[in-house]
Amino acid sequence: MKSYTEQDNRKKYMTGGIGLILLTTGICVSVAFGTVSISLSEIFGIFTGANEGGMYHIMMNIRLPRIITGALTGINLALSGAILQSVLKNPLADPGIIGISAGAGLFAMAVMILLPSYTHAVPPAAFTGAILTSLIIYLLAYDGGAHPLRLILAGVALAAFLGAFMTALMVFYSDKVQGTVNWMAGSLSGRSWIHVRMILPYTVLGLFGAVFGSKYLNILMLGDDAARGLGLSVEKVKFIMTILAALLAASAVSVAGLLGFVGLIIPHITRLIVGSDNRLLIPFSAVFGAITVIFADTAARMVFSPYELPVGVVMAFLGAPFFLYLLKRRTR
Amino acid sequence: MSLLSCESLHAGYNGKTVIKNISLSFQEGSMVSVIGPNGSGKSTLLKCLGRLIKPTEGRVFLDGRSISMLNSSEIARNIGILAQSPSAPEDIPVHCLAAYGRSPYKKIMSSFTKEDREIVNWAVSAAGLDDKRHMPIGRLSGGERQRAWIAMALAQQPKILLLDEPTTYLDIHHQFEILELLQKLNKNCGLTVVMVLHDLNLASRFSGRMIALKNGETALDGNSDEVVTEKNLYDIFRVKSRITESDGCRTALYTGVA
Repeated sequence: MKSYTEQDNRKKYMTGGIGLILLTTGICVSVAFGTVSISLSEIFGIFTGANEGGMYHIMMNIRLPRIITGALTGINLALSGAILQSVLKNPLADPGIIGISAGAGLFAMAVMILLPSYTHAVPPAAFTGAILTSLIIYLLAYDGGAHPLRLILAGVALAAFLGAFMTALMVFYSDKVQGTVNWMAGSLSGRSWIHVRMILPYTVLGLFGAVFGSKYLNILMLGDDAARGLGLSVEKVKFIMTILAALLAASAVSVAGLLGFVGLIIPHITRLIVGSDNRLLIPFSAVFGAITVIFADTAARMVFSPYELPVGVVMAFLGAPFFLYLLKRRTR
Repeated sequence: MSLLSCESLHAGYNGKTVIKNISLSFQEGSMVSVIGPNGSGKSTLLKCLGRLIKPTEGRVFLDGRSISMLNSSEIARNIGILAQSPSAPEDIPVHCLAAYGRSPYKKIMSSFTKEDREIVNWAVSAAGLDDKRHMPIGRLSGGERQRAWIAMALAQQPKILLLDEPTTYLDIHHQFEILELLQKLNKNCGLTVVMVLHDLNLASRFSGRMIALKNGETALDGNSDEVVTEKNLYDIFRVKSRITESDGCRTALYTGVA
């Protein structure tokens, strides 16, 4: 019986090690490859200050901020999904369920279509829309307590409602829809240090909050009655964690657009690998979220170079089959 | 003074009253069964006593203090409560589930001490799961899983344990196993046990006191000689029965609906 835990621990250390190696590799590959390739010695030169030419500019002002924005987006979405899956006790929960995508989508689209000269206002608008929508859903679902099923139903209903507005916008302004397509599919094209600065505070807050809250999430997963029996303030924990998840996802979609998939699949895949203990699930989800977005974005830039695919497309294209494979292997 | 008591308790859901004017008190070291037909308010009463739901009227007292005045961790250090068929992620090992029982003793940042570890080990042993310590609960049998939850409640080191139908879905062997475990904890550790049971014969065998609810009110309260009678079973459950007595224990043989 002892070997059970030993085996488990070894698996966890290995998963962690592999994760870190993949992350580093991903960053290096992503920095090096693109429309212009940068060699390892050039990268080294840029870091030591020896190289300050065009390569320096490409790496420091184009690729690196884009990679970091992608990594932080991945971390935020994966954390948000992991938190929501525990709070709602539903492995199919993702940030879309609490209205993030619908709210952010509608607000961002409204700005892009109705106020096309204010593109810099898209991220704050998306953020506001996401937070507002999730608050409304929480209020709608609250009846002496936020019951997961009511929350999910309210989320689905409100998403359909806001979706109708989006469709109406698209129909009335069909000539201007073109510009919104990339954003709707989730794209990291042209992201700069401004975007890094926009999302970073939420990543830091989210990581602290989620790691700190992971033991409460564990207790919450025993069910409301059992959690209350253990002296946990169930409603308070649910509310704080839901808000945290909303902030994380809202900040992610505000810089990268409607990037689906990460929030749903990454925590799920991570759970298949490390188990459902949130103390492991949370940090590992963050790492895997970052890896996935970095690799997918590199592929998005390279596959049809010099044209770019939206990163969301690549992610769904590669990730969904991988997810199905894991699921199948697990159930066998 | 009684360990746990309630005074003219009313409670319900969505404005519908389920239990009405219930006043009871439980002595330290007693083992009590709550019986009654479906919908008679057994679970609601238990949830009120364990402050999982707030009564609409009346109060619950723990050691003479009203539990609405106590903080929830302090209550959890005194009252362990297991709801009906609780569920948890399948991959939690038994000792981890039991370790959650220590959370009412933990401040926000405090870590797991050697003492906590010892108490968890004791709880797992006491629940008879020593050899299954590292087994994920998804791989346990129904009876073992119920004992794993009992281990969690024991790790809370409560004075009183409230259980809602701890033997549901178990075969007769495992039903006895759970009840014998509770009896042992009651006798050896002085743990006060209040449980909702469906099976009258098991209730009469394992508890010194039986409380019967009907339509949300206390219908009967006494030892098995007083409660398990043909007339009472007729009045409360609407069944015809014959009562026999074997090895000092009253057993009902049901013969049909009344």
